[in-house]
Amino acid sequence: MNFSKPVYIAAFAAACCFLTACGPDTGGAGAPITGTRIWVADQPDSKVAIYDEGGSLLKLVGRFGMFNKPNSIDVYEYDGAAWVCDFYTNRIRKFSAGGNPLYATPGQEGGFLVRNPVALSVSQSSGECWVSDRGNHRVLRLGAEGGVLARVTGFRYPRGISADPAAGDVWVADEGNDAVVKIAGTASGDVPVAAVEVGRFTGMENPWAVAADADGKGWACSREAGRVVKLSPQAAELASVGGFANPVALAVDEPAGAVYVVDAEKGLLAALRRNVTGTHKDYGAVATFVVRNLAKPEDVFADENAGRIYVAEMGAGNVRVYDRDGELINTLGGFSGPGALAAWDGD
Amino acid sequence: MKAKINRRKLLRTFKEVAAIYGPGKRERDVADYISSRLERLWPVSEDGAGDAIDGDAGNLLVQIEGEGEPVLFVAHMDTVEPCAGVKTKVEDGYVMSGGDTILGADDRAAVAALVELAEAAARMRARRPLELLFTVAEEIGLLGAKHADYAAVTGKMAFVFDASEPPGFAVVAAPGSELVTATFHGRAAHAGIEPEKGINAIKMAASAVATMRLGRIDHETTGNVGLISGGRATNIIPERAEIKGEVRSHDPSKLAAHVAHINEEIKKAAAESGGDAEISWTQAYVSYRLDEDAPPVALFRRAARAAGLEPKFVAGGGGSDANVLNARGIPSIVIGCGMENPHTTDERIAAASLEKLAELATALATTA
Ligand SMILES: [Zn+2]
Repeated sequence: MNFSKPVYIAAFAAACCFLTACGPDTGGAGAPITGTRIWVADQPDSKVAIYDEGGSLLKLVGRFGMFNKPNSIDVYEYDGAAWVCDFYTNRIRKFSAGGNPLYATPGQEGGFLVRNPVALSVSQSSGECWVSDRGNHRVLRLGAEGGVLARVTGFRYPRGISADPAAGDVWVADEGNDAVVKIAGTASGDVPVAAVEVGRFTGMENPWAVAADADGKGWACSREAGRVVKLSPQAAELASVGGFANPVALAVDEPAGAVYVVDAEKGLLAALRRNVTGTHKDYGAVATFVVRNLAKPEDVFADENAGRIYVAEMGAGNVRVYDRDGELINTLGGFSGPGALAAWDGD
Repeated sequence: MKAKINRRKLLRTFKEVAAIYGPGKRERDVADYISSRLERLWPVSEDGAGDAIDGDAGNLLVQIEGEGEPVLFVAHMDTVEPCAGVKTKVEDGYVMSGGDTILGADDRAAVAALVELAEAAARMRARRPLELLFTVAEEIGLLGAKHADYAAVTGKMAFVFDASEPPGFAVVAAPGSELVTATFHGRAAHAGIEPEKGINAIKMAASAVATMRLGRIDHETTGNVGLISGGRATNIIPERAEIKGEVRSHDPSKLAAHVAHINEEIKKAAAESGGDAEISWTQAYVSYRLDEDAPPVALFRRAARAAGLEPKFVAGGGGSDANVLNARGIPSIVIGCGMENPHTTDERIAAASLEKLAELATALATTA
């Protein structure tokens, strides 16, 4: 992670939240938070909760009422704060590492800032949050404290979104335009996408999820095309890996040199080599491991510090935890249908 | 770019949705399937019809924003029995069941086409706003459509995907229907010892049925008595008998006239025997007939041509959710889906019809 400039902002953000709403987080009797915290959005019953590595409930963050089909979670590695995207309540909420509410976008009385949002991504260089505000056909840049820093308009149906951990630029899959667009993380105010566009890839139908690589490159997958592409920092195709049926989520693991893909229809987790080039009809040739027989995996999260890969196995009500060799470390069970997750391995 | 529906996915979706058990009032698993496919794409809501009719699911409404006048697409989620454990197979270009159940193309073919339409909708250019209404309990009396929450519906015209004609056909007129139950009351007596004291209710019913005009009354009116019951034993003069029947007509005044005729015959038969009869009528659905320039007819004509089909308009003989929608003031026509032999274990649908249906749905969504 690159702390050169943004570390100041991050520290400032953390201090602010200390001073305002909620006081310090603790892991229980006043002790600081330690150990892994796994955030899981259970879709059918609209529950968001934090679990430890062993699967014990640490905190119920919210249930139906606060949430209605939460669909995306990301954490800020610096302080463990988590952002949750919720489709039907039309809101984005930020919580402390301990699960205390820090901020939410306006609700009905405030006229709803977002409408049917589908994905979010925390910029690891700033703590800001980028939101795929699908119902408003735009992408939002929210400050770490929740203010709106930019509204990037001109998308048709934005879907996946991912902020580059180094440069802070942002990859967006615009489903409605069959395009994967990279925009400058410095976008501010109300701005059309053309004004902040760094690159645009239009060589793949129906792009769905995206993942920013640490070196300015990007990854995108398509349900329609059944493939994953690797894109240059200017969004030109560098590699294409096929053989998927419904790839729905991606995660980059920089230290491991891998990109993880989950395919909801084929029921698999594949670890693609990050340095892959060229066109491959089948992922098998460029994967370091493939885990099969998963029931409808919907999300994948790579904890780069701990070397753990988390998979939300929606069809089986499990969260699976793997190491970097694809060995199953643990299975957290008893969920109704986990659809999104993120993890933070503490200080 | 004009997004097209993926044929491979469409066939798979149809097989998946056909395999789900869901007779009238037991559509929960069908509703959950549709929600799980679409709820992360577009707002999906379920109304309270399930509670109102004592079913396990309500109608689902999927709201897909777009540009222009919103239109409503309707398909029903329930199927008729026997529909448990449907196993599909594809032979000679047809999808069919294993032979011991219905296939359920009526109306799951439409459900599959609309699910695929919704998944492709984000990528369609110049697409009007769409509302997909998936109704419950159509087969058992249009109950879902009758109890739907129309406050949430903004569509100014509707296309009900539920006719068995091939894609390209549309039903623009349908009869109204009234259902009758008549209970004849006589007097019981021992048939061998004192028959003089009895009044035979079965005889009353028989004489009423015998004098009623039934079958095809004229080119647009029909009448039928379909059920009869009564009596307890051969040596008892029956004190009670019941008949159930219906009248259908495309013309409301003819419908009313034939209802009156049947009432008359029932009352006459009861009076002549010295007994009496209770008659109760319920409206099954109201007739409709759309002009050739009515908005859904005009749009269908353009869209069918855009999909490479020659539009053909026919009058139907049965009721569908379109009867309810037309009665509510939403001009509606019923679209041919190409299901063959519906409501039988020989039901089948050509894979090509399924594809044409999806193309037609796309054309209805995008044709100016
Ligand atoms: Zn039907």
